[in-house]
Amino acid sequence: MVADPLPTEGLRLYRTMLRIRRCEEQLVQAYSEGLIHGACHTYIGQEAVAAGVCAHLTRDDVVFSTHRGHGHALAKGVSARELVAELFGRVTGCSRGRGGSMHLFAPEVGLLGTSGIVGPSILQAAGAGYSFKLLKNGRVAVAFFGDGAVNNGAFHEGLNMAAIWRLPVLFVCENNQYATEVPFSYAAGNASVAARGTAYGMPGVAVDGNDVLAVYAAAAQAVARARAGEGPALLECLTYRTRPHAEGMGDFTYRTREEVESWKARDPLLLLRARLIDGGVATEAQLAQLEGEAAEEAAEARRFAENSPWPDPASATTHIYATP
Amino acid sequence: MYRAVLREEPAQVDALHLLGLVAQQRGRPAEAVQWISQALQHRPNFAEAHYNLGLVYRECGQLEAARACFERATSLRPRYAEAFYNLGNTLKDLGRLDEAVAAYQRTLRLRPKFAKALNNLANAYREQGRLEEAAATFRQAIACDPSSAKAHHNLGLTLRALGRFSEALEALDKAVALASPFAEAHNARGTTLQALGRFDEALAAYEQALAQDPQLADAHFNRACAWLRQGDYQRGWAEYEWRFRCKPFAMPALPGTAWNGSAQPGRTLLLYAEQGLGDTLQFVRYLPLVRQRVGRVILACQPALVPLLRASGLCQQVTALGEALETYELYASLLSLPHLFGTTLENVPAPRRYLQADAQLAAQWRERLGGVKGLRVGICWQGNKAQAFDRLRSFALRDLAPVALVPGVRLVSLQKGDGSEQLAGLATRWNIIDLGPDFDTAAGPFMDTAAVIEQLDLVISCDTAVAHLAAALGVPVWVALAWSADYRWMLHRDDSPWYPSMRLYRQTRPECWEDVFDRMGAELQKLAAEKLAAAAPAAGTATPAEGAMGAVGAMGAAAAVPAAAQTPATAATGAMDTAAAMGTGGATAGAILVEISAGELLDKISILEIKSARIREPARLANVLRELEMLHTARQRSLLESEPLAKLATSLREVNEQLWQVEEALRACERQGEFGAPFIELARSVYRLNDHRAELKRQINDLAGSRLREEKSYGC
Repeated sequence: MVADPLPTEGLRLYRTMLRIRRCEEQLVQAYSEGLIHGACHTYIGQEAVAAGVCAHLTRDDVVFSTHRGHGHALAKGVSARELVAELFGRVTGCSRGRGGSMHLFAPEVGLLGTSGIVGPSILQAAGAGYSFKLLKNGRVAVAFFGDGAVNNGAFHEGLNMAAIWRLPVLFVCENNQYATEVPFSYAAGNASVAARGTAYGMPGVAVDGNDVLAVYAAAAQAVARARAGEGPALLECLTYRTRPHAEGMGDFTYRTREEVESWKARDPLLLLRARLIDGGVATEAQLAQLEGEAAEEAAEARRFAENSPWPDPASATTHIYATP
Repeated sequence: MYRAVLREEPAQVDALHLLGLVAQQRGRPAEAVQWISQALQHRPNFAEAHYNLGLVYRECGQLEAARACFERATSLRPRYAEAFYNLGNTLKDLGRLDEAVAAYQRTLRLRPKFAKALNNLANAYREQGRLEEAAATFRQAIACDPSSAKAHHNLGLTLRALGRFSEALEALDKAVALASPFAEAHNARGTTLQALGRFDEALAAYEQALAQDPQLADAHFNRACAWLRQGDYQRGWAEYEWRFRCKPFAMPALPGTAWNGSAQPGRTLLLYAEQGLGDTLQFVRYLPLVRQRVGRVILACQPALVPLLRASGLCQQVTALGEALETYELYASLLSLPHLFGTTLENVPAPRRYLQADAQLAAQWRERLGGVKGLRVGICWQGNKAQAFDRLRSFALRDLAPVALVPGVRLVSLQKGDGSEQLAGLATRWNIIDLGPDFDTAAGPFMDTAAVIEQLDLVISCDTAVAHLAAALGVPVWVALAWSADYRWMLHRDDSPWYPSMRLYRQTRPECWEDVFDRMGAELQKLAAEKLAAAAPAAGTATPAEGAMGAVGAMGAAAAVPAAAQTPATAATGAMDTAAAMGTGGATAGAILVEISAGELLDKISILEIKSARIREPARLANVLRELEMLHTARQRSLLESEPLAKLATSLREVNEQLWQVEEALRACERQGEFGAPFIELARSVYRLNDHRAELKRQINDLAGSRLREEKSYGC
């Protein structure tokens, strides 16, 4: 294997996952208080995927994400302040308060957009990869998408084009096993997403998406491969969201409490935390300090968002038409 | 009338000012300066007077004085668009480009549709190399004045420089529709069409340019290249002589007489190089022919080629361009020799080899590279960036992935200067041999390069000097060519009449290298397997990888797959290519597609590799190689390669080697009827080795995340 990432990367990955988790918890709370307008899909339970993949990306690499994109935004470098303010609809948000939960956009850190539509990230990342290839700039594009996207036409088109043009793209399927409330096993003729990679002429690798070190190791190979011009790869990260599809939705008509609890026991943060302690990489005190910092960052982001101004109503029509 | 006013009122400022303007209109600038200055004495804050004084100074070429006047005018009236505009023009003439741009921008903020200001700003951007902004600004200028052929022409030239040829063509089409005659625009249309690979139309455009201006040297030169590209050498080389009247190729002023190619024994001829290093390497082949006609030859070439060409012994004296020369009577350009020798496609002088590396350096490199296993392939991906169409002809190192990933290939970087920074990420990943920073420093440029090339099986290069050098050394070279390739490579052919050891791989779509290197990769896979097989020892002792070391230069025979091995495969070529393209086995009739684990794949590959090194009979070997090629492709397409995976694959290969040997030893015992202790030991080792093999396969499956697991079950 590549050298065990635990000693060198463990803390960094833990910190990224923590920052996402604490932010999401703030957002859950704020949603119940009516501070968030529009839908709010949290990433709780899936943090290992964003953390493990984005750890290999530079600021110049780009990420295209889904309706469940808060984690990708934070892992790619959007600040907690800008994220929370965006969901609060404030002008200090990363999309100036115009996007909300599903339209996060921060090109300055390579977050080229989250989307409420299922599947476009696949084609967008292929397009970005095509551009990088023409410009010969060594950059890499990543598409995050869920299991609900892999039976879309976009998946077929995007993977095929990326393979024939050998584009520097990493396709990351976060298989959290439910497309909203439809089980993947019900909707898929082939229950393995990873196995489809081969059909398109690219490596397809399945990893435990709750094991951030496993995600990290697989992504390391895939990103290096893309950067070397050897072409795209498909990563299937088997994971689980432990919150409902969106805040405010019911949860147990399509899955059981037992199932949710069993996955909570495999929480990616808990798994890594135990390994950091067992491996002697960090002490309880060090981790507690990190946890405190992450909680404070999220709380501070919320205060910042609440105190931020709303967009000027007079600007409602700006960005609608291109300026001549 | 103004004078009448002044008689009444000598300090009437307007009259003084207007008298100045009249004087200027009458072509008396000194007088104009006097009158306007007087006006300014009486009213120092008179912005228009400062502005007009600036115009007078500018006309007389007193640029500094003009600039001061315009600055004064603009500071007095900050919304004075014309003053900013003329300040811009003056600064530009003074060579203060950045300030000129700022002045134009200021002008345009005040008057956004000022067509001339837009045009001049765009030209300033172009001079600054800010081509994107220049193009956008030319477009704005055109929006203000759509009938300006010049603006369309300028836009076209800018877009062409940006490599946006289709858009450039559109602009140039408009330019020639708006103005006639406009020979320069027709000529630019031609080069744009040429870049788009529309060669016939390009030639027609040059003809049109020449119909409008028969003396337009650039169009003659371009037409020459077009004719040469078509293989019309008779007209082409003669027309190519027009280059001397083109700015970039202007002939140096030389004493002596231009040589006409006639026999002049007893006289000395100076041959001088021009254009790129590759041009020199290509045309020094004429030197032996030249020496048959004149007494003595001096070659003046680029300094970088002096040591190599001195060592070549091609002529009596080699000197660097620009250095002092001994006396000579005649001169000619190296690139005029095809013309002077009446070269046609039928009589291109093409010896298999006309340069050689320094013998001592070659021996040193032979030793240094002695331990390098596999098919040695030199690579060079970046030409001189200053060349006009470099962006099109050079490729990125990472485009070479399909070549780099061919098993049994070892890449050797021949890249120097620009582009070598790309090695940083890839040298370790692809195990590229980087010859180090001392390369070519001690003995001089190209000296080590030539010596290393002689140790290689093949060179893969973009259209640059290294390709010429390898071919001149007689080493097989594959050149990756752009959609619109240089004239010398002609059209639609994959060989060159100039170089017997060269093979051309052309882009089949503009700016797309994929299929170029996919094709090379597929060819290389065959070559690497052949080399492996050809070099295998008769007895099965050494490992095939070591065996592969022995034969260097087996590919000298034109980099071809031996016919014997090719025949059986050829029948199935179509199906095989499809299968290879599909990675995991194409849907060939009769094919059975089934998922296998990574361990199984690598196991099967290692066994086929062992077989390919031992089986000699061509038809059987071809069967093995065919399957091996498919599996290699599947591996490349399906597995994420990593160091640990490579290590496991090597271990698996070793175990299978041992099993092979055990099997042979067992059969030997069987033949001799010896079933004693050695036989028992051998038999027992089979299951021990097989257990080890299963364990390695399991580890590979874990690493690759294979869904399939091989399970073993033995009775206790």
